[in-house]
Amino acid sequence: MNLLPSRGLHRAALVALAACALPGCVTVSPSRPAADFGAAVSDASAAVGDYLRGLDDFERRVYLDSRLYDPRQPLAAFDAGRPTPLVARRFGPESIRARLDALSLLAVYAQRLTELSTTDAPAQATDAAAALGAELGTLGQRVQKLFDDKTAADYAGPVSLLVAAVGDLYVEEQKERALRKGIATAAPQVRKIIDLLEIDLVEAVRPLRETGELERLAERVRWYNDRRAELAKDLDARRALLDDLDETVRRYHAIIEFDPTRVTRALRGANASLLELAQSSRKPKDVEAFAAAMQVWGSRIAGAAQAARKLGDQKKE
Amino acid sequence: MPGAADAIDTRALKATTARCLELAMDSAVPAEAQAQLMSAGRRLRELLLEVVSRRFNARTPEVSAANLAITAANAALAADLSRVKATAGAIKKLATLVSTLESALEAAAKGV
Repeated sequence: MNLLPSRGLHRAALVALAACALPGCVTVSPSRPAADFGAAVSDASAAVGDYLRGLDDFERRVYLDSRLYDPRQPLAAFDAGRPTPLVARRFGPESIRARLDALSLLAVYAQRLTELSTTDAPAQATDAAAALGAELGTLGQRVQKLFDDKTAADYAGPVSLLVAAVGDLYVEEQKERALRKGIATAAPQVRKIIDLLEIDLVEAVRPLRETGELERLAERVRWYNDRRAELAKDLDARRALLDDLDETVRRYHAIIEFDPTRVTRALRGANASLLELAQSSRKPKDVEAFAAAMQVWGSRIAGAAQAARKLGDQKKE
Repeated sequence: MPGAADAIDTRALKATTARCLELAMDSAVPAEAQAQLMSAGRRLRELLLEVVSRRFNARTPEVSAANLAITAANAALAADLSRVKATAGAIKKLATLVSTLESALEAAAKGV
């Protein structure tokens, strides 16, 4: 019984291995850019989440400010049976929860992509396959001694190389196929979530924050002007009031300058670039173009997320 | 009236609200007019809050549907990662198996 491959098969294996190594056959992995996308999405999701979570808190702050600076206004938890901003949850808990879930799921999607992109399974497979190849070679020598077949030692080395290469290529191809399928399947859903979040930020959150800070500013200005005569002799009181007014103006300017679509446009752009790459032939020029696009989108997402985070901090004023 | 609220142009409402509040702080506007503009601004902002919060809540089912879809996509990605790792693991096990077989053959050869 001859358990060993023939010399002809040995040569064919080496030719196949060499063919796989030819440059024209090589596609480049988008693993690193996908990992960068993952990190950017997670960062942006956390910042926007803070912004959304504070909606009702901000409305309560505006309501209390108007009562603070205009004592003629009554303080009430309910008005003709309807909750006032003192206690109301205008932005229903389920609605906020759905948005926070959407942001979390975006972050999970990015994390899954990152895990799949950066798994060292192909490298583990390479090591394991190399060991397997070496074992097969040694095994061949054992069998040779048992059955007195003198050709075993000839193929030990090439078999090790071939098994290692095939093992690595197979696992790497599995990974790349999964990445492409995952990106193509999820991309439309990611687009949908980004679109819905943008509507929320542009049509609800920003107008309310802008007019809310403007109202708080107007309350303070009018209160100060109504009491200028009695404040004339109290420099410290005037200083404290004007410092508070200055801080209010800073908050107002910050919301005016913040463009919530910066985050969503950057997320949308990064997602489109990822989808384009997944559907391309992924030659080096495709990956280079994607890596360049990700640098731009990643820095825009980070910048917009930082601005959103600052507004989230300011809402505590 | 839900129908009437849906027809409100929130951009115009927001712009009008902001204009009232700005004029309430304008020193060229007489004091009494400033007070009336402040009241109007507050009231318009309450209306803006009512309309945008209602629309925000109305969009929730659409958000939830998208969440379900991306949850499925995330599960598929996790399953793919498990398969990739399992393949690498299988190759490792195969190497161990061959090593065991090799030891057995060595023992067998000594016994021959």
